[in-house]
Amino acid sequence: MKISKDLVAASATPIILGLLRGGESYGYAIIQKVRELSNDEVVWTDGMLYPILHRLEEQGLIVARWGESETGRKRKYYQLSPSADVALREERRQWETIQFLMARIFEPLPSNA
Amino acid sequence: MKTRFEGELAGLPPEVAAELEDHLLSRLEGHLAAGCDEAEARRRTLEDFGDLRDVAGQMTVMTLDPVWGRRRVPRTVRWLVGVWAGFGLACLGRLCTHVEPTYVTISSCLVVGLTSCAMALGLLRLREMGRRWMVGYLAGVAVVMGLSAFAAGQGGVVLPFAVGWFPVLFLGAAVSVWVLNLRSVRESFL
Repeated sequence: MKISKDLVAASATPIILGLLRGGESYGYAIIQKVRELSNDEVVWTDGMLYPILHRLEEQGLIVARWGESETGRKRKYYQLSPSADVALREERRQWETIQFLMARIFEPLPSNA
Repeated sequence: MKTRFEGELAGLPPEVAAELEDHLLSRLEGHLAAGCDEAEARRRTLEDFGDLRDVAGQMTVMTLDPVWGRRRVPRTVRWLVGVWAGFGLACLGRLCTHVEPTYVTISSCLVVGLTSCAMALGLLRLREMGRRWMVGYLAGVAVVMGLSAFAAGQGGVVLPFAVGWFPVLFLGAAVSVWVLNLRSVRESFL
């Protein structure tokens, strides 16, 4: 199932912040996790993730550090910043609101008895 | 394996190149593990990634954020852009205060000033195009500035402007850096 670009763009930030709740991660692992959790329904272009990560870092929502991969390569790891809690709660609240609204809109229409 | 994407990453800022290289190699390893040969794995890796230069550009150049956010531009580049823009403004400002400027003074001020401002803006664009373009552009501007100084007949016409207008230079640099931090120069001018 193809997800529209607008929806992918809108959901990227809460998805990334939500995934980082589980602890430190890096770009490739985040993309793989998204694919896994969505049963391959949500497939991000690899490149779209990095400008978002850098924007979130600029905004202070995530922090980065350089480390090493299992094979010794330089790897940049990201984790939530201490100030991300508020932003994360707000993102969750907004998406739950939208989800609730959509559920009501798409309720089965009453049949004309 | 370390050099597999050297060509694609050439000229990018080192931190950006390192981060993207790690991703590309991780993806490549995945395709190889799935049974692809080297060439096919490489092709799929680059296809999966998308426009690498565009992505690197977004990571290094300020672009307009819908809510006036800013992307990070390295401090060194920001100050360099600010200094050059300030220098250009100082040269242009000199025209306003020079008593009976000669034709040569006017033309050299205009050439140096406008070139410096253009260079300041160009640095932002060139940064995403890679190091070779930056070096070539800087060399070209240096030649233009040298020729304009020579045309003024005194060789040192550029230096007195910078020294004599130090306060204006730094004020211009500070304003330029501040402005560049708030506006999308790329969308406006390039």
